[in-house]
Amino acid sequence: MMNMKTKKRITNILTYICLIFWFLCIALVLYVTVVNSFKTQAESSKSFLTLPEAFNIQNYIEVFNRSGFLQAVFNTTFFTLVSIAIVTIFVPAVSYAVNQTMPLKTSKFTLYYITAAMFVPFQIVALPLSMFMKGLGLGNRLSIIIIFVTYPLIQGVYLCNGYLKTIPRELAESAYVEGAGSWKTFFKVIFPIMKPMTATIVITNFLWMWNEFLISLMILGADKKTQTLPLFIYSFKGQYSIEYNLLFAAIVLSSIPLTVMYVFLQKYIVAGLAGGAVKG
Amino acid sequence: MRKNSISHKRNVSYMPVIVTALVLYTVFFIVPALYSFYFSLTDWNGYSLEYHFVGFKNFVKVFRDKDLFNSIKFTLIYTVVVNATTIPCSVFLGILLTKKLRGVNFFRSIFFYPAIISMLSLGLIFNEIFRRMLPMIGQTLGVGALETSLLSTKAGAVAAVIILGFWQNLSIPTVLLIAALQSVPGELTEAAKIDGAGPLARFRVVTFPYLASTLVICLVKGIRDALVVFDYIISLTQGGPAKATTSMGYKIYLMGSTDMKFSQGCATAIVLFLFIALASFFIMKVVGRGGIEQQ
Repeated sequence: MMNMKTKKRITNILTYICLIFWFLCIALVLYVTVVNSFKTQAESSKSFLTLPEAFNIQNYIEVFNRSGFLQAVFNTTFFTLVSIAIVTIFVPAVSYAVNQTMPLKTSKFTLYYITAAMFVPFQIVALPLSMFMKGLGLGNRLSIIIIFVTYPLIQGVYLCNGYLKTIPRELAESAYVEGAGSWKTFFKVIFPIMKPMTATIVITNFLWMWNEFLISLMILGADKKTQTLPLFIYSFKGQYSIEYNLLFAAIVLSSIPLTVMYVFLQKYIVAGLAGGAVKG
Repeated sequence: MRKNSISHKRNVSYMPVIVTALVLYTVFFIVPALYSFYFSLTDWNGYSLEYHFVGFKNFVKVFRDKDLFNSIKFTLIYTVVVNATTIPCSVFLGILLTKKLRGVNFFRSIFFYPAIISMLSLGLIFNEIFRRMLPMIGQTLGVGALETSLLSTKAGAVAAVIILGFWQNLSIPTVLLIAALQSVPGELTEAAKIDGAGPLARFRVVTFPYLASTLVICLVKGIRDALVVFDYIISLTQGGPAKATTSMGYKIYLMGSTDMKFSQGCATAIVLFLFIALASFFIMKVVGRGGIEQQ
């Protein structure tokens, strides 16, 4: 019996050693980033690891004053919020319409047609897309929002389909027969049922839109007016490659919104991502 | 009959949504993708006014061209190593994190955090760590091996990209596997224990079947993300040194922008697509078989 206890103790200690080791690996990277964003370059060049002599916010002030920073914050926020607002309604509505209001055969075909793109890497569309967008003359802002609204359909419709299969068609039909208009049926009956799936879609796409780099690079390029935060950070590196303290400050600033969201909505974010994967 | 016409009327009112979705998806995904196929059969450089059809020449080149072949090699090495390390490690961490120990929730929330930060920012952070911080530490401690930057040698740079990939890509599989591990009925493990099964046997026989479907998802997603890797490369190594870390995703971007090899880029993208499709299909068939159906 004693033996069992000591054995359990030892495994527990080993568990903690492993957990703390990985914790330190993660913490070190975050620590280096945050600490050096408060240091002057002279301080960092002595050591990356020591705490700053004084927490001076000079780097942050400089990032704020750099041309394009506030514009980039605005652009990323604008693109993300507008697109997410549309996606929140659009993806469930399309999924519902495809899944439950079409004749069975057409429904299946449409579903395959949209979700086939799950296996297609973005690189296939990347090269023609920027050319294509310029050809259509939609303008940078609209182009990005269209992409941000369209691409979530691919996985979103797939995820929602799995979920909607469990909801009988009669449910919405009976609501309709009882006199609710078709859109009222959707918002009153279907949309509330789909909440967990919608949450997953909103969370994954929020992360994607906020951090998205390749599409923005291809479509927006070097245009300062429509530049997003990742593009700002990237251009920062090219122009001022030696001023890494400013770079760290810019990275910290751009990660704050998602970090704050993560702190408060952690449970939902983790459950949302896990939920999507289990169903998908 | 009445019900049918009612539901028909109802269904018609959803048509605008379906049509909007199909138009958007077709115009902004399918059409550009078809363009890619079309241009992959030409010799267009992206700028010239005229171009010619060259058949499958670009596809042959993907495997003949030394640079392109190297970028395929690097992409495959990165994909295999990152997935072969993250997936087992996330199973291991998942098992540790489902133990009833104090502080487990704290570790869970920290371990997931890397998934929130952008790949681009992480590439830039790791660039400073490898290029400046580690050599600095090497000099102070007098460790010769650390003094030169990892990014300055070919093998070192490949390792650096893999380290970064591992660091960030451990987070999501871990969370997913925790969820899967919690679905294993406790009685089953207890029963196996009483029957005298050791921890490894218990894992193989009792736990694994419950993880199989999640593992398939993690692998398909992990392999796909690794095959298209772009952000890490552009921010951490810029494909260097001596093109040793030029991934296919990065190479396609270069061919379409600075290298003026648009059609060659399109052909490479299609090869990349075939890799992803093949890998996904293979995993779903092979690994997916070992699991029990959930839900």
